[in-house]
Amino acid sequence: MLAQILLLGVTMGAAYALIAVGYTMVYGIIELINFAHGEIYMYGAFMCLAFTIESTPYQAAGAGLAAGLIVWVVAASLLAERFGRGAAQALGSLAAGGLAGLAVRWACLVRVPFALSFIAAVALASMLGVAIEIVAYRPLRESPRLTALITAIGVSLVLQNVAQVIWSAENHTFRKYGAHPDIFLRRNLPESAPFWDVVTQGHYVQAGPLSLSLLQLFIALVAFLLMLGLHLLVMRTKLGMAMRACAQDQAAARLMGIDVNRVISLTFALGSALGAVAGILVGLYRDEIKPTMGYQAGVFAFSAAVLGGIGNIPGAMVGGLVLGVAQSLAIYFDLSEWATGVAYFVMISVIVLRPAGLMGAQLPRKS
Amino acid sequence: MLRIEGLKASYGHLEVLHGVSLEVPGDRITCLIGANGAGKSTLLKTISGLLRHVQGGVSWEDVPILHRPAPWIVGRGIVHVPEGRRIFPRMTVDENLALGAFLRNDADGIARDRKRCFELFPRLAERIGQVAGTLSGGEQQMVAIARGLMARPKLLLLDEPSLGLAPLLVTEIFRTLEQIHSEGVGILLVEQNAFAALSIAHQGYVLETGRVALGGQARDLLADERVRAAYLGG
Repeated sequence: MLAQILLLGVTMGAAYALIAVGYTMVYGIIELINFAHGEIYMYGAFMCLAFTIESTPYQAAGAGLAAGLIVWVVAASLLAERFGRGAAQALGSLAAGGLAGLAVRWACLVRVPFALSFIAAVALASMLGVAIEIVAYRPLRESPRLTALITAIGVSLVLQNVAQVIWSAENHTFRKYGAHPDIFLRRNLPESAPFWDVVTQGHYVQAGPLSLSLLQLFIALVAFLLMLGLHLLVMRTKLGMAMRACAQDQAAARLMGIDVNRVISLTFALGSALGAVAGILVGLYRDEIKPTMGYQAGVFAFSAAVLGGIGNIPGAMVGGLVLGVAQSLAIYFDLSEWATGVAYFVMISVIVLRPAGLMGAQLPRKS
Repeated sequence: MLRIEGLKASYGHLEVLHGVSLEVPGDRITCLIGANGAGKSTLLKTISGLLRHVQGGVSWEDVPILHRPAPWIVGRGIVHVPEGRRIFPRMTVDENLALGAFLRNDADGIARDRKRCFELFPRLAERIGQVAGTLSGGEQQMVAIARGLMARPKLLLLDEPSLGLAPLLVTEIFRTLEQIHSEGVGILLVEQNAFAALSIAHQGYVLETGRVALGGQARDLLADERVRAAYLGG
């Protein structure tokens, strides 16, 4: 039973880690706590659901309008950066936004296969992250930190309310619309079923006394692979090196020939994509998608990032896992209504003993 | 040739450069001396594109470069080694050098230049995998210069490379600068250590509160009464 519950903790922890990484990446590079990150997670889940099911015309129009705006902002910034400002660029970005909006509206009205919905939703949420940075944070880059922080909270509230206007405050679930991907539905398989059958048609894996649903397996696997990929990207590629350079000294990075704005945009794109993946996975797992889901998960994942040492990517991964496990232990000891409190208690204890977090750098701060 | 004409620069409402004009040939060592707050570092930041509130004319090889983004200017061969070294403290020496070559794609050339940097600064070769923030001040300055060289500069802008270093190290670094120049790199050297700078430079300028007060051949400046009194300790 304990092992079973720990397994649950690891699954949720992996999802928290995916979100936490987004907070920590953005903090590492522009020292801003991006409170809107939780809303990106929520938006990813909603868009995946909206693509998978047949939405109402009202929802489809709302989702199309929102997506069109996002694509318009990103396209305008990309075109301006590459070709300068001008009428042709303005028209081009408007056209891109309009077409994307229509395409999204159409995709919401029909049923799109889950895998395709997943990819499109992650792409859109990633662009939402980039658009938020361009519209709300970039103009404030030189202003006091508090200004940007309050702006981030504002953006978070605006996005939450926009989602509520489009999708209402009620709980949406994949299952309610019969859209839960078949493969993840729990169905009993004989214990003797070969593993491959379990993975392809069956729905949970039985290993001795432990049972692991395919969805849990999928969440842990996806989270692990994405974080491994992110780690390799940051440590081994030229883009990763540029990201680390910007995090340590932006002026010096510019003197190396690094386009700091582009690196920051890419950081938002990556962090937001990971957050959206987490949103979809948790949306499937908990079977609840609602406008406030990002706030709850966001606060929790942010704690995980602080616990691990804010600005430190492996720290965020460890922090997520620790909080997930702490939460599941609370459930094991019959304190389930205290689960969140226990997780915060763990975080506070660690921060008191090690203010820089579990894996935070103990180096002197940059000047 | 880097040509600067009537250059004004300000931080917010505070104007720091009030119309500076000077010429920096791409094949010589030019030094810029002046007291604290004269605008020396500001001038370098303006050239390398770090400042936004600037007006006037700056051209390099007859192409205007003012108001261009910093990465574009690096691509044209002007590389700025900033004051206070500004190395990436949590990266290794090798990663710092790799970042210097960020805009280049010629792996062979990069490998060759990296080797050359370790010949110029043998001490860095021993510290190749060490995190740069843990190096001594002199070693960090070497990393900063080597990182600048990795960009293949035609003109190297150096801001106070002797700051905070032991006299022996200063001599060593200045000797290396002469060597770098002999390999065909132009140098614009900003220094408080006026004597050391004028000794290796071909020509120099004296900057006083945002204006060029004096300019000429380095040996003439070394002999000039006013310069001797103000910057060389009599």
